[in-house]
Amino acid sequence: MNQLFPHVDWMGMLTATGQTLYMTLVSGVFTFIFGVILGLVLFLTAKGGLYENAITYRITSSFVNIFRAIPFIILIILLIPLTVLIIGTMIGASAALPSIIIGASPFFARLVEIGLHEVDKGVIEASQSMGATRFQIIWKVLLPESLPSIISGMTVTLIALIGNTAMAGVVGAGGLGTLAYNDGFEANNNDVTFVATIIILVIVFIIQFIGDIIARRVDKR
Amino acid sequence: MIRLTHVKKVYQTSAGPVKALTDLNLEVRQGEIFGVIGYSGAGKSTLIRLINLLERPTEGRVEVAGHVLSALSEKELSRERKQIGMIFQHFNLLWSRTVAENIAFPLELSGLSKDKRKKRVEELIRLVGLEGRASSYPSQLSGGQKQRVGIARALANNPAVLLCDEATSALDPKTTDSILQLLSDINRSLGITIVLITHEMYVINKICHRVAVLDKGSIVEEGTVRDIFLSPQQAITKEFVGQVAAPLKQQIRIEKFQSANPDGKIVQLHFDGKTDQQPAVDRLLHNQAIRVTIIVSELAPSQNGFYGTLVLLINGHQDTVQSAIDQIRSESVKVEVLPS
Repeated sequence: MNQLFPHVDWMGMLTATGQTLYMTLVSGVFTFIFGVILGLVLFLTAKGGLYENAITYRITSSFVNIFRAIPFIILIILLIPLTVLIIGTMIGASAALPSIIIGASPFFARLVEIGLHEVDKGVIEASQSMGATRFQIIWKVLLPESLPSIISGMTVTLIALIGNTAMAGVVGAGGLGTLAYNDGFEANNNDVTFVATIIILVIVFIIQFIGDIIARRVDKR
Repeated sequence: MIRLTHVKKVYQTSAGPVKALTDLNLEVRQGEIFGVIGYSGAGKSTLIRLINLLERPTEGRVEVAGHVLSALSEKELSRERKQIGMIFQHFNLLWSRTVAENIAFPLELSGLSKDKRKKRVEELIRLVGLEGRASSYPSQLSGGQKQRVGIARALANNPAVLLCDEATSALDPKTTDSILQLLSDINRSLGITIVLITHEMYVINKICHRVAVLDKGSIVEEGTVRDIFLSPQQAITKEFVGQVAAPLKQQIRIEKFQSANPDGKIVQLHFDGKTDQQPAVDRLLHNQAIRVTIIVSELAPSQNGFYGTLVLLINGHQDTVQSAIDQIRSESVKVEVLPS
C-alpha cells in the first residue's frame, strides 16, 4: 500500500474524509429543511396554489434563481462577511457550511417544487371535499405524495453538495478537497489526489445507492 | 335536502368571461338518487362542485341539509363538507397510503382517535366488500376496487349526502353495474341522498329516481326517470334516451304496465316460425272472456308464418287468464309469464 501510494498520509486521509462527511451531512440536513420550505413556498404561492400570492412567489422565485445562478466558488467569496458573522471565522469545515447550504438550497427547492407539481390535482380536490384544512393538505397529502420525488431530488442534491465541499476545500474548508489540492496538486503528489478522488467516488456511490433504495421503498405508485 | 337557488357560475379566463351555469335552480329530496345528465362542457362538473362549494357560485344560494353553504367562510366550510361525501371518476386515492389508511384519512382529518378509526375502517371495508384488501396499495387494485375504496372513504364520516362525479365513467360495463349496485344498496340501507352526474343514460336508468338534463349551463328538462324515458320533451333528452338500447326501453315500458295493472298478467310469447301460429294468436286475441293489450310486438315474417316475440298484458278473471295461457301453450307457442 505504502509503495503504491508513497505520499499518502492515511491518518490525514481519514481525518479529511471525516471532515468531508461532516460538511456533507450537516449541510445536507439544513439544505433539506430550507429546500422543502422554499419549495413549498414556491408551490403554494404560485398561480392557482393553495396560498396564491403573486408578490411572495415573485420574491422567492427571484431569490432562488439568483442564488442558483451564482457560481459556487464566487458565492463562497461573496458570503465571507455572512460566514464570519454566523460562524466567527472563515477557515475550517464549519465555515464552509453557510455557503454550501445557501448554494444548494435553491437548487433542491426547485426539485421539491417539481415534485409537488406532480401530485395529482384530483387528490388535493378530494382532500378539500373531505374538509381538509390547508395545513392538513400540506402535511398529509402534498408531502407524503411527493416523497419519492423529494428523496430522489435530495440524492441528486447531496451528490452536488459533495462536489461543493471539495471546492470549498480549496479556500480552506478542509476535507478531501483541501487534501487533494494542497497535498496532492500543489505538492505534485498525484497518488494523494488519486486516493482522495476514489474516496469521494465511493461516498457518491453509497449515497446514490441508499437514495435509490429509499426512493423505491416509499414509492407505491 | 339540497337546494340551489338562482345559481350562476362565470369563469374569468384570459379570453374573457365564460358562463358555465346560467341561473340554475335545483332541488334534491332527502333520500333520493338524483341524476344530472349532460354532454361534456354542459356544466355538470361545475354543478356538482357547487354543492360542496369546491366551486363558489358567482351568484345565488347553495343550501345543503338546512345550512346555507354559500354564506360560509372557508373554515366553516371545512366542517360542513364532512357532511357531504364525494367520489370521483379517477378515484383520487392517495397512492402513498394503503386501502385502510385511505379510508382512515377523512377520520384523521376529523381528529378521531386511533382505536375508533380502526373500528370504523373495518366496518367500511365490510360495507364496500373489500375484505382482505385492507393493506393493499391502490396501485395493486382494479378500477372497481379503487372506486370501492373511494366510496368507503366518502362514507367514513357518515355524511348525509354523497356526490358522484362521473363515478363509473372510467370503468368497464360489468364493474359499472357492480358499483351502481353498491351505490343503490347504500342509498337504501343508509338512507343517504345521492347526487350523480354522468353522460350515460344507462347509469341514470339503472339507479336514479329523478333526473335533470343539463345543456349549455341550464337545466332543460327534469322529472322522474320513468317519465323522462317514456316521454322525453327536448331534443337533447331524446338523444340521451336513444343511447339506451331498445330492450332496456322495453323493460321500462313493461314495468310501467306492470305497476299500472297489478292484477293483470304480463306474458311473453315466443314464436319459432316453424309452423303457422297465426290461429293461436287469433284465438287469444278474440277470446271474449279476457282483455289483451299488446305492449311489445317484435315479429318478423318467416316461411311458415312469423317468428319473434310478443309481450302482452292479459286482464281478466284469474282462472280464465290461466286457461287462455294454457290454451296457447298447447298450440306450441312458448309462453313466459313475467314475474310481477
